[in-house]
Amino acid sequence: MSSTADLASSSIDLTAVPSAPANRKVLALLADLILLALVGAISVWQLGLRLLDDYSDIPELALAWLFVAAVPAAVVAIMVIDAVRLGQTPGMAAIGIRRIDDGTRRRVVSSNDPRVLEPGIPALWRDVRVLRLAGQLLAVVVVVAIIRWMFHNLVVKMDELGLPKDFDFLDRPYGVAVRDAYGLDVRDPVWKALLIGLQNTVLASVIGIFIATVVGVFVGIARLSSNWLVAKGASLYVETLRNIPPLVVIVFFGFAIFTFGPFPAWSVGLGQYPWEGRWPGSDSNWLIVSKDRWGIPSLASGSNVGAFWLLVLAAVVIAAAVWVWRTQRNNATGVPHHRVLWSVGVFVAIVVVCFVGLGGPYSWSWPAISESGRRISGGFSTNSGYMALTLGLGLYTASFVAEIIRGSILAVPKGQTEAAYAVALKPGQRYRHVVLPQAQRIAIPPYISECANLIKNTSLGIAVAYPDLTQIAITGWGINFPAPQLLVILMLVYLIINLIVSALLNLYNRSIQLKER
Amino acid sequence: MTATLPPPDTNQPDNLPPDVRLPPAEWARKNLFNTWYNGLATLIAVVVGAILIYYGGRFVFVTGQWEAVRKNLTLLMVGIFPRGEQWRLVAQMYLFAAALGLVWGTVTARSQDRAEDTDVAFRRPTPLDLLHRYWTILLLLVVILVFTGTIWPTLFTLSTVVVGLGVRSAAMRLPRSARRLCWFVAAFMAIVSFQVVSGTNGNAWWWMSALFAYAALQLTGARDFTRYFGTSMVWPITGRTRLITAKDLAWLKRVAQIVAVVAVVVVVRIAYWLIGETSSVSWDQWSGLYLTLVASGAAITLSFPLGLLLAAGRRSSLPAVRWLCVGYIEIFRGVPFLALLLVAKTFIDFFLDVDTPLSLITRTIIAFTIFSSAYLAEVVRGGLQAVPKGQIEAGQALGLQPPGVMRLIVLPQALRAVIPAMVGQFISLFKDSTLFAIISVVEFFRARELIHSQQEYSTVAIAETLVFVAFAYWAICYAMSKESQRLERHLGVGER
Repeated sequence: MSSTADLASSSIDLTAVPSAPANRKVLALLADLILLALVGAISVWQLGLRLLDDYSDIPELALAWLFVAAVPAAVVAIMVIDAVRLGQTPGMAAIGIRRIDDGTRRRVVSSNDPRVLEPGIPALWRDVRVLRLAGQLLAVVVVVAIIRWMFHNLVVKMDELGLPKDFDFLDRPYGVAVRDAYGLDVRDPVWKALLIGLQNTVLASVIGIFIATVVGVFVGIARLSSNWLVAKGASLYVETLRNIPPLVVIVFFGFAIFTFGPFPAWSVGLGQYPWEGRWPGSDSNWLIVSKDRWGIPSLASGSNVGAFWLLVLAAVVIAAAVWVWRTQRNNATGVPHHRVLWSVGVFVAIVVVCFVGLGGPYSWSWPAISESGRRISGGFSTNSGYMALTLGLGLYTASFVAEIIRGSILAVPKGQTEAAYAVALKPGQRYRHVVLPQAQRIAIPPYISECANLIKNTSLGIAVAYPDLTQIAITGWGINFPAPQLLVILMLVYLIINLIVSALLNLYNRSIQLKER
Repeated sequence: MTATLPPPDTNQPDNLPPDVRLPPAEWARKNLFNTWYNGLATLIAVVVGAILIYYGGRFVFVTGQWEAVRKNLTLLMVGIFPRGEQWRLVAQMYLFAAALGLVWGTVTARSQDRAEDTDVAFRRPTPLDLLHRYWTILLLLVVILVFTGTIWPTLFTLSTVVVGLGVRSAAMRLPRSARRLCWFVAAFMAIVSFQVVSGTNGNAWWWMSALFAYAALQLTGARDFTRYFGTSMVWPITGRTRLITAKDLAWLKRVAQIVAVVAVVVVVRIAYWLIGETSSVSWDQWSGLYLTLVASGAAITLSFPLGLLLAAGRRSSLPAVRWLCVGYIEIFRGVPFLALLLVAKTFIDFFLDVDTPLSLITRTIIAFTIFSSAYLAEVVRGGLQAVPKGQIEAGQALGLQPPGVMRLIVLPQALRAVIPAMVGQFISLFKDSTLFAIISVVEFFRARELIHSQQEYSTVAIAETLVFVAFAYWAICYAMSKESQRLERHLGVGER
């Protein structure tokens, strides 16, 4: 009590003293940043050299010496900063610093002196800044040393085996025909083979995510149905597929359903032909089904495709303008905006008019069995590996998406639904305007991670011989292209895809999150 | 919130809602045909369900060629494990069941005692409860035993269950003071059970000495040293007498602990030396469902401490440590597990500069541990973030150092909050162990492929073996997920 009274009655204006802690924070931050930059630069430099160049030219101990020198250097820097700032030698521990009227500072040694305004400098081995620096340096040194040691071993081993340590092999011809890798020629360079693999990975991911989302939303809502049978059926679906490994599901589709399943075999030698689905009185197949090849109709591009897409772009712009116009009308006059109806209507009208006006830039391409009887020509033909991968992964991930949908709808507080009842919204409106917008906000983050999981799981396509990026990389490694580089490329590509997906969806997530203070 | 609720209706016993049982016709009208579209949905569901049941039932009971599973059941269960050495697995089964029973009994008895101490109603799980909880596992056991050719596996399984349950009920009758001993004995039996299979050579003694060293540490730490040294001591040279301070005692305790640990380790080493090298089955030959269970168990156990460290590191105030942990977690979560396995298969020996190549299973488990620790770290981080800041500040106010705050205040609350999520993570890791098959480790799924590499099954019974394998995975994962839901209710996560 007395010390507070002393402090209050003392003549020092507390507000006039510049705030020291902020100062110190800036200094600590600077020290951290310098340290990180130093360590980062050294590690990148070292690791890069180790991997790409002749490692034996660099003195082995240079890095270690640098680190050993860094600790005393940092400590000396702290001492100098302290000496300049406080005019005091560190290590000469004081309880605190007090400022006298003429601006000079004095050390205070008595512990109950109420005039202490800034804490003093502790001994070096108790100085938090020194300890933090030392701790971080130690951690970084240990990690960098381990990584460096491992890379050193790897490089030595690669030299022993005579493997190249650069990426020149990317320009050499791939040299092997991969089954079902459309567009890949034997003479194509390795980078093109990898690109086609990446294209297949993206294709499988997009279709897989589409299946997972559609089926997942449907099953998730069905689980909440008031119909007992539908709800139980949906939970049976979820509880079954969620608890079976994705690899088993994919292999089941690939082998039990397609390769060894009930579909007609296709073997010209044995006189077995696939089943062709066509409408009576028509020559065009809408479906070709066999054990390992399926064909469906697709769009074939004709003339004026470029002009058509330019006009579609224009249609998008016009539709957006209509959207804005309807919103403004609604704001100004209060008439219902019907934005979706208006802009979609305008868009469809323009596109249809353009399509007809340009003389049909796209036409249907119907699948047909080629003259040799061994291939499908025309349409979109696909192999059982692709179907197994997308169906298996899609249906497997759908069970997780269903749980996310159900959980997020249930997580919307009951009061919200009751409030919607109270303002007399119809069931459809209740869902559209009250429950779903809030459920969406809860569902998006876990949905992001499910999508990322699905993309990573497309690498399981190797089990059903789908030529995705992993398959192409592993095949390349089987024909003596250097495996370390191929694996680095493989991991980097997946890492980048995942980072892009999570960044995009996080952006979306941020835009729909509640704006709080 | 509670204050605004209406007073409870005292006419109802226990305030439970009335148990309404509708007659079947009424129930169907209310739950199946309340609107025209629900009626339509019911009809569609009935038709689809009937078709599924018809074809599924026909497949399981009529057309399925289950010979493929029956003939190769041993291959599926233990893979390429030497057939002459299977007695080791039986012995391990008994020992492990006893250890499990001991742990289970101790835990049940402890929660029973705790409930008594705090006057909380405790309901012992009845056999019906256990059946409800583990019916899928039981079903899996029954299905496997149905496929066996002789009576012996059934007898072994039944006697194992009897041993486990017997030890459990014995453990529940032990006095409270014996509880810590029970944990020790259970761990001892678990280690012995594995060394029955893997032998006592190589680094096997290390596991046992770790257990004994931990026990020695606990025992010496719990001693009251004033009992042995009195309250005063004589200075050696000057002969002066002075009181023993707390600092002296702490120092003495430290010395005693080091001596005890060293002594115990030496004794264990000598014991292993005396036992000598027993014959063993190297774990390159462990395979089938057995390997799946062992490998996922090992990876989960090993990744747990690593995950804790990474999660704590990610929330550290030291930027360098934080960024290292973030880098580790994001890199290993961002790449497919398959790519990691490929790296492990090919390059771990390159990276580690070992003379003799590590066995494929060791490399796989290393990759699995690295991968799962990154995922586990994210789960634990969720729990760490859920601990209110006031808890940490309260710990600091008590004068605890950061590690103390972490160990005594933050971690217990954080881990309790994420147990269900962690079990969910374990399920997905267990499912990921199928990927071992792609790098040709003979685990459960790969053992199935071996069936079809035989001439007579190369194109037949593909669906049958797949369904059997899928069912086994399903049964185990389903039991785990139900257990996690039970834990979630039991621990009251999300409630206060």
